[in-house]
Amino acid sequence: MTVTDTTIVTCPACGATAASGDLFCEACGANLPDTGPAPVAPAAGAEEGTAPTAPPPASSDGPACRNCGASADKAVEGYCGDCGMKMPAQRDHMESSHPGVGVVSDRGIRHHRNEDSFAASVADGRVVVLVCDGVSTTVSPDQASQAACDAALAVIVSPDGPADPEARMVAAHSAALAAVLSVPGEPEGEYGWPSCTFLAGDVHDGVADLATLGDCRSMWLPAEGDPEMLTVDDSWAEEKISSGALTMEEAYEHPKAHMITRWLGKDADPEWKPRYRRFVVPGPGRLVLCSDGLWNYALTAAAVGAAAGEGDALTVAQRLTSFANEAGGSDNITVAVIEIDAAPPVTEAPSTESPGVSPEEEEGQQS
Amino acid sequence: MTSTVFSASVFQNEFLPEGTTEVNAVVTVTAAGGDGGVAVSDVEKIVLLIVDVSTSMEQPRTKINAARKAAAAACEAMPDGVLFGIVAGGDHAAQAYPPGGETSLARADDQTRAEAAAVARSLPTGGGTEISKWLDLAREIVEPYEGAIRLAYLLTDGENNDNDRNEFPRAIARATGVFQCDARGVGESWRVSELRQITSALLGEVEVISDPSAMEADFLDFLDQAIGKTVADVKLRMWAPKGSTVRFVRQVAPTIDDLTPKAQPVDALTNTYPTGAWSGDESRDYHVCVDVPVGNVGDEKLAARVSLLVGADAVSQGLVRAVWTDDTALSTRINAQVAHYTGQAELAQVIQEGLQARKDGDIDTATIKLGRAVQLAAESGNDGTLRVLRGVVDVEDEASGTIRVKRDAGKLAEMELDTRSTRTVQVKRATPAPEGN
Repeated sequence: MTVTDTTIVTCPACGATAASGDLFCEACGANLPDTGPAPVAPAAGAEEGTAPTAPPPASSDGPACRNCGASADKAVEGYCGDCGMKMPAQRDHMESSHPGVGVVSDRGIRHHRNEDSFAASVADGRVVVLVCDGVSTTVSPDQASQAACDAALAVIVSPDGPADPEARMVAAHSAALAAVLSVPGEPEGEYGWPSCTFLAGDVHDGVADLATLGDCRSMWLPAEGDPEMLTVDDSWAEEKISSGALTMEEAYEHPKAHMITRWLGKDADPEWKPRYRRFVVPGPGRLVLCSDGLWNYALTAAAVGAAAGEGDALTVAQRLTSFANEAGGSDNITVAVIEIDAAPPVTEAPSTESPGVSPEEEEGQQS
Repeated sequence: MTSTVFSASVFQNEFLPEGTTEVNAVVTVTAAGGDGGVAVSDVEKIVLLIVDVSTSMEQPRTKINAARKAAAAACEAMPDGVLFGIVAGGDHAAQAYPPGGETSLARADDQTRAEAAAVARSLPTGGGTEISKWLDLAREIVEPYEGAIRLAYLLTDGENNDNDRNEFPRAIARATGVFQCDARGVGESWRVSELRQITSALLGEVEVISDPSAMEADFLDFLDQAIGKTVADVKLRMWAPKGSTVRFVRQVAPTIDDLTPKAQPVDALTNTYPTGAWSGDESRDYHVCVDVPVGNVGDEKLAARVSLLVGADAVSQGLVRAVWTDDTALSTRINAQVAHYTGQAELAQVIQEGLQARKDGDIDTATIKLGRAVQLAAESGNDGTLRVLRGVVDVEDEASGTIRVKRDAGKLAEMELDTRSTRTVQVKRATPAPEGN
C-alpha cells in the first residue's frame, strides 16, 4: 500500500501548476523540469563511483501507449493520459555491456515494475558488479536497491577504502545500508521501510571477492567441469535445507521458501553483516551473479549452467533472462555475467594481464 | 505572508486479483500553515446568522430568549473586519441587521457589534416557518461577494410549513455554491432530514441543540470555526481513465458526505466536486472507488488522479493506482484505511436503516441494524456514536452487537443519533516489517 506525496511546481512554458514529478504540463504539454520525487529512472552512464545522475530529460516523442496507442505527449505522471496504462519505464529493461561483462535487469512478466538494480564498474582488469533486489513488501524498493548498488560500488572502487578485501566489503555493505536508510518513504499499511538485498562481486587478479546478504546468488560456470554455487542465501528455504529439516525440493515447494531472513533497511538488525568469501578462480569460465527472478527457475548452479548456453557475456545474460521469462517471469530478473579467459595466476599478486576486459572501459550501469 | 499549504496522501492496496476491476483508495488531504502556499491574508469573510423567529419559538419562551441571547453573544464576539448580518426568519424573511431595508452587511467593529447585539436581544417573533424565504434572502445578501468565504448559521425549532414543500428544494439549489450553511435544530419538533437537505447541499453540519441553554456555546463554537476558515471555494478534482466508471467519491472524515451526485464535469475524464472553505489547519479523508477496464497480470494503470483545486490552481495531488497480480498474498491484503472507512460508511447506513425500521415499528429489523451499528462503532473506536446509540438501545455485548431497542427512548435521543450518524473517527496506523521479495 503505497503513499504518494506530491508537491506542486510551475510550468516554465505556460505558468500552469503541475505536480512535481510530472513529466509534462497538463495544460500545454511542455516538458517540465525534473523536480523528483519522480518515477525512478536509472542513472544512465553514471561516472564510476559517483551517485546516480538525474534521469535523462523527458521527451514528448517517446514511445506511444502500449495499451491504447495514445501518443506519449498525452502522458501524465508516467501514465497514459487516456487509458491510464503505465507508460514504458526505463527501468523495465536495463542492459550494460563491456568486453567480457554483460548485465541485464528485467521487469519480468508478473511484476508491475523492476525493483532489482545493478551497478557495474570495469576498469584496469578489475570488474566490480553489484546486484540488489528491492523487497517488494516495502515502500520504494526500486529506489532502495538502486541506492544500495550505487553506494556500495563507490566504496569498493574507491582508492581510499580499506585494503583488506573483507573489510572493503563490510564497508561497502555499510555504505549501501546508509543509502537505503536515506531513501524517502515511511512504512504504510503492510509495507515496511524501504529495503533490499545485497550482492557484491569484485573480480581481480584471478580471484572473486564476494559478499552477500539476502538471496541474490553467485555461481561459477567453468568452461570445463561442474558448475558450482558460491554463495549462501539468507532465506527460510536455505535455513530449512542447511539444518536438514527439509530437502531442497521440499523447501522450495513451501510457500515461505522465498521469505528472506536478512535484508538492508531501517528495521534490519544492525548486527547483520554480509557473508564474505574469496573464490580463487580455477580456470576459464563464467561467473554469474543473479537475483531470484532467475534462480527461481534454476535452483542449482548446474541448472543455470545448462540454461546459459554459449556466446559473449551479454548474450549469455540475455539468454538467461529470456529463460526465466519463458519459464513464467514471476519476479524481476537481474543477471550479470563475467567471462574469465585467463589461466589462474599462481599467486594473488597483481597481474599485468587483463582478465578479458579492456582497461579503458570505465562505466557505471546503464540502461 | 500567511499562507496555507495543501498535501495529499493516498492509502490503498493497489494490487488487484486477475480479472477484477474495482479500485479503492483513501485520499487524505491536509492543510497546514507554511510558506509558498495559497495566500490567505486578503480573503473576505462573511458570517450570516439566520434565526427562526416564528411563533413556535415562544413555546416555551426559553427558546426565543436563548436564541436572542446566543445571537447577541455571537455578534459581540464577531472579530474585527468580518462582514456580518442577521436574518430573522418566519413566513417571510427580514434582514434584522444591518437595518435599513437594502440587502447589506456590516463590517464588525465596536459600534456595529454593539448595534447588532442590541437588535439580536429584541428580535420580534411571529408567523410560521418558510425556510425557502430565509435561504433566498441570505443568498441575495451574500451573492455580490464572490470569492469571499460565505458562511451561514441557521437556527430553527420547527418543521417547515407544508406550503413551502415545492419552493424549499429550489431555494436550496439556488443557494448551492453561493454560501455554506450549518443548521441547528432546537427542541424536538423539527425534522433532521429537512435540515440535512440544506446542510448536505450547502456543505455544512446539522446538529441538535437539546437544551436552549446550550445555544450560546454552540453559536460561539460555530463562530470560532467560521473564523478559522481561510481558503474559499476549494474543489476536489478527479481524473479517471477512459472506459472507467466512478462508483463513488465520498468524504469519509470528519463526516461522511457522498460527493458523487455533486460531480461537475470538466471534460470526458475529469470531474470536480465542491468541498467548501478550508481552515489553514485541517485534514479531510476521501474514499474513491473506480471501476477501470481490466488489465493483464503485471499491468499497472493509473486508476484516478485526485487533485485539490483552489480557484483554478491545483495545490496538491494524489495518484490512485491499479496493479494486476496473480500473487494472492498481495491482492488479498486489506488496506486498513479503506477497510476502516468502509466500516464507518456502513455504520452511518445501518443507523439510518435502524432508525427508519424503529419508526416503522419493525423492531426485529431495528434490532439487527442498530446491533450492527453498536458492533461497528465499538470496533472502530467511534465512542461519540456509541454514546448516542446507547440513548436508543440497551447494549448487552458491544463486540457481538447484542442489543435491545429501548421502547421508551425519547425523540431527542433518536434525533441525536440521527444527526451524529455521519460522524467518523480516523484510523489508527501500524508499521510492520518486510517479509519477502
